[in-house]
Amino acid sequence: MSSISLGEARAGTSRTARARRARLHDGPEPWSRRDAVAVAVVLLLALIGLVIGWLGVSDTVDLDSQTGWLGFGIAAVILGGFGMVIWLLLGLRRVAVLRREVLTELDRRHPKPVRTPGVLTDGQQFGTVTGMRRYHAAGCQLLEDKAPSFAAASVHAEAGLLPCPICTVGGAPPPDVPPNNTGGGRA
Amino acid sequence: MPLLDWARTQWDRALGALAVLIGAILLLVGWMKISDTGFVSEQLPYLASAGLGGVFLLGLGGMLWLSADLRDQWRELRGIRARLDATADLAE
Ligand SMILES: [Zn+2]
Repeated sequence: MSSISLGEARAGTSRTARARRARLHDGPEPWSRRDAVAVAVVLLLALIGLVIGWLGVSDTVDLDSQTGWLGFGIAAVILGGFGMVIWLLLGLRRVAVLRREVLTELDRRHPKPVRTPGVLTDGQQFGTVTGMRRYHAAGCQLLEDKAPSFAAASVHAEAGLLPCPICTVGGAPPPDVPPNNTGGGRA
Repeated sequence: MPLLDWARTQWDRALGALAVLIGAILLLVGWMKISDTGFVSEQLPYLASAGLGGVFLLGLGGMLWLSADLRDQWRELRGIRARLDATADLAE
């Protein structure tokens, strides 16, 4: 029913967003229309089997044939349960693939800021590039392949720059630095 | 009516709750009917209809409710992915 495999999802990190999207369908819910139709058919068959089993049991007073029809009904319920389990497993799997995709992308774009202890002692330095509206921690992905100038957060704030909402959270100074000590405080 | 509004926006959860309710009622009715008679050939039809039907509906209700949770997760994750794609705006 599904062509998604774990290996494919792991390989997805190096591909473009468009390629990833092509593998994981972009519908409003985890299941495609084809999944819904297939499971609906299985559930309908189970329901029909239930009714047939019921009619069969009611149609006779012979205990042997009654238990036979009851077995038919039980088989129908098992078929229905099978359809429900397939439906849920398919949904869980698709959500898991999408979650891993999002987390991988998040990790790739915003790795943990690399902090060097020497820089931290006299207040953490944040980088920015001329024309940017925000300042970033040294390890931020958005400073990659650029030539940023580094300064304390307060200097950037005075220049009217905003802290990067992602990397500066993890890049706050260590707790042993008093908040109003130097310009390196949390901006 | 708040319950009707909820049923309209949360149709999958509403259907699931309804299926569980009807399934439970079926099981209860089947149990009472089976207790009413001592003849096995009269008991088995109730087991085949109310008993198996109740079990089926309980399963269906659980499936619909869990499906609703999966739909919500899917929607949230797609939202995060869309925002991730827009992260380029921060580099301005
Ligand atoms: Zn940043």
